Amino acid sequence: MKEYEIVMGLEVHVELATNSKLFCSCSAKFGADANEHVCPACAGMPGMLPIANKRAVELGIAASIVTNSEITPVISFDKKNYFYPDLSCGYQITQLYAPICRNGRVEIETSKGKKDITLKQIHIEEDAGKLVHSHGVSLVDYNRCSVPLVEIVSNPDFRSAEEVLAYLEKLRALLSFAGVSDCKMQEGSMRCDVNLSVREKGTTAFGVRTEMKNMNSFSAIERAIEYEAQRHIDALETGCEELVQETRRWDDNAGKSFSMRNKENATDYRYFPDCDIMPIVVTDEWIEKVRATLPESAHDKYARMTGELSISEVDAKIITKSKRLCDIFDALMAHGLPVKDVVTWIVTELLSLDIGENKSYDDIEIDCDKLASLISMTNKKVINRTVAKKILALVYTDNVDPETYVKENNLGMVSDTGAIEAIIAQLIAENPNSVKEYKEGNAKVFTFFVGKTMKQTAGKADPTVVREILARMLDEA
Amino acid sequence: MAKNTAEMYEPMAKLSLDSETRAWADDIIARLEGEFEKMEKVDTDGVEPLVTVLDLKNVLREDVSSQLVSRDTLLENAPEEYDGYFQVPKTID
Amino acid sequence: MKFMMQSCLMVKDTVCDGGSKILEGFKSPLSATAYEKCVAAGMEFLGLVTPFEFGIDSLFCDCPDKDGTIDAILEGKCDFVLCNDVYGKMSRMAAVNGLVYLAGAYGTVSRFGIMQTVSSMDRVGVLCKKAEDGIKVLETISGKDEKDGSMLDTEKYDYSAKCDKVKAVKADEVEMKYFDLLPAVFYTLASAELCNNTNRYDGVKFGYRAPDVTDLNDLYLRSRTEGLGKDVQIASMVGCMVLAKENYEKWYFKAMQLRRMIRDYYWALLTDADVLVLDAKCDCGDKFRQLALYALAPLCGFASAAATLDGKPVELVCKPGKENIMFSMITEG
Repeated sequence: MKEYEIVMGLEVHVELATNSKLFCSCSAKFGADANEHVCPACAGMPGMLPIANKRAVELGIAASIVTNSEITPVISFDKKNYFYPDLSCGYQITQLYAPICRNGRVEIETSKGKKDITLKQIHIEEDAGKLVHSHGVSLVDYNRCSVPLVEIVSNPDFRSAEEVLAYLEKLRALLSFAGVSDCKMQEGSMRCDVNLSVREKGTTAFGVRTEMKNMNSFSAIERAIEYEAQRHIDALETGCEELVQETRRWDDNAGKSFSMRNKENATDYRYFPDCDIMPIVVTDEWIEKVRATLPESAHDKYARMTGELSISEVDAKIITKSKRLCDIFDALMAHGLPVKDVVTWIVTELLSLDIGENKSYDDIEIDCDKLASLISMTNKKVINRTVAKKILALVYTDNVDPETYVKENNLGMVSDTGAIEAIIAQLIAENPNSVKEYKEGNAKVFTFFVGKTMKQTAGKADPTVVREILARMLDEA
Repeated sequence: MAKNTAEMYEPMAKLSLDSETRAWADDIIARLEGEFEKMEKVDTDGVEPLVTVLDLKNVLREDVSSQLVSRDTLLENAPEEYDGYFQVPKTID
Repeated sequence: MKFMMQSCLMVKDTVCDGGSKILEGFKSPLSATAYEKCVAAGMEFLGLVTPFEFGIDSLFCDCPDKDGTIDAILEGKCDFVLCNDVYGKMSRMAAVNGLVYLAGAYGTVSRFGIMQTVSSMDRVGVLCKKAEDGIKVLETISGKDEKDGSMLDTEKYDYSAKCDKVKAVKADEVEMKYFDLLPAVFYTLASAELCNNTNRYDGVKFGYRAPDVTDLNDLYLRSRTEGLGKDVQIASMVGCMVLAKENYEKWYFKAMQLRRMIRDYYWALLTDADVLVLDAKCDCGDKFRQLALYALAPLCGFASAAATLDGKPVELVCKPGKENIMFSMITEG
């Protein structure tokens, strides 16, 4: 069999973190009931005119900056015509002729080392609505219709699924840290279409290209690439199927891609400039203003953590991989907690939480004030660590208030040394053989006594205190 | 050059013209093609296309969200509505 | 003053069908800014008048001499009617019927709440009997509106000042450059924009939906074909044609370039002279050229007026800022 090379280009759609939509003032927030965030304009009714959202343009500039792109001095918007129920106006406002930027570059790192992925362009456009299929009909929700997004179009620089995933991780970090988007794949605020072709290794001509849509997670993207590449190779090897340039829909349950014959293929979108939206001049001053107000990047955060905060490189890397974890880190630091505790709590406790399948740490929703109070209660020895861990899970799942919960369930640490001494005295009296073994030098017996004592206090004693008292009393016995 | 006909563009515009209108449209298209030839002869090299009638720049709004109409008002005009959604025949992906 | 509006201008909680079956029973969720301004000025709204479809019908056929809008004034139902006039049809009909039609320059009257047809040419105008009334109404409805992104900055216009010295030129006294090209440029731009703006009428969200549709494509095809008028259908064919990939550069892009050349030329011409006088009833027989004559003003963003001068129906065109001069010509008869 010949050796093949996969060639891929990516189109990544990222919804911008604005309050309102791109051309009307409807809320852009995720999660409302169907059609709650819709006005006559984004429902396609006549009479309203598009006025561009300044913040959306600024987030477009921010996306251009973090991807090292060349920003277009004067940008404009164009109309793209097609009929589909999720598109209320029968056209989408996008950027074809003067997009926000071109010629970007994103550095990725894989097992094979570092590599630059080059970007063709980034353009700002309106998102489409959502279709729900039910009882033999389709239902349309325009809440997402006209929510601003940027489409990041790469050149065909990818050669493996690993590179694709590394790029997506990198983009997510760059954009989420810059506040451009929350980049949540499961809420659809980050989506990825993969253009894939296959060619014999060593050749330069591109093979027939297919575009795959509808991958809802990183792992689905990986599976889709593996499947589609194999389909191409099989077609070339056996001739069992003729490859055609087309758009295909990935079905993750079936583990297959299917041709989208009806919607996407062979359409003339009849792009033309939108005369209702005035050109937007993006001056150097404006770009610098956006640059100056960009939040700290993952790279800078990492430098700060490993530098002045003396956090280990391993821990800093874990935390800075996720914008959400960094936000939690900053919030806990703002509570004045020691760096060491904050790091330990994030890296060991928070990351061992069961957050469910198909979720990343970017999705952790937790009340940082409550988390801080939990850590502080542990530090002050109000509760011990075992209890704290249990409460952490409850803060995450049920948003319980740690202080109230400890009080109501009487989980406060037994700090009355008299009570602990009484328990230990009784244990010594009940287990003379074990005491004897201890005296003979069997260290394991000590652990046995610690366990017994903790059990008697229902796990609420401070293990350190228990150890101290136990050592003293065993020696005295 | 292929002659343009209404029929070529009907699917694009999601229209199905009756034969009379189609003949009328074809007649207009044929005459316009003649007109367009005059247009093509004019030298417009380097002329910036006029897109917006006024020479305005940077007409932008602040990112403030507001609700203009209620969902009930919005759905009042829907030909078919179901549970807060606009209903259409099943779309096939 | 009492007024009516063409139903392609919208009034909240009122059925506004724009004269189209596709908007059968459409209850508007908003009101046009021009309407709000009139009401705020104490003018009494009497109701809607049905125009040709969206106010743009007869784009491709002979324009009749009058319609319901003209009748509303002739029959004395009201003092004025607010209209949308894309290519001068209202203006022409007004002149022929001895009425007055005034439209401010593009960007002086808000387009919010008018059913968009040809976005770069849509202009709200006033149809009335007396020029003085029209001027007063135009003053009332003009002025910047944040809800229309292509407006001049002026908050308030004053059209009351009269001018004695008017330098008016007739079309046959000056070189009407690009005159032969106007129809092609106009139809290219207008058809594409109209085609695009009427995509929204698809039977999905509001308005007419064909009965017993079998599938989605059937819903689109039949709702639009049964609901939209012939002019919109033909314009859609032309619009698709000029925007199609293989034609875009040579036709659409070219037309936008020519539009700039046309604007610049007539801008210069009307800097020198004040008012250009066009014959509203030229019987040149060439439909294209005739229509293009009317299209001239909106095509280039000028203000325009229709009136009868020396017993002849005429259309007047001037540059923004020279409206007072042009209006003086009408009030003096």
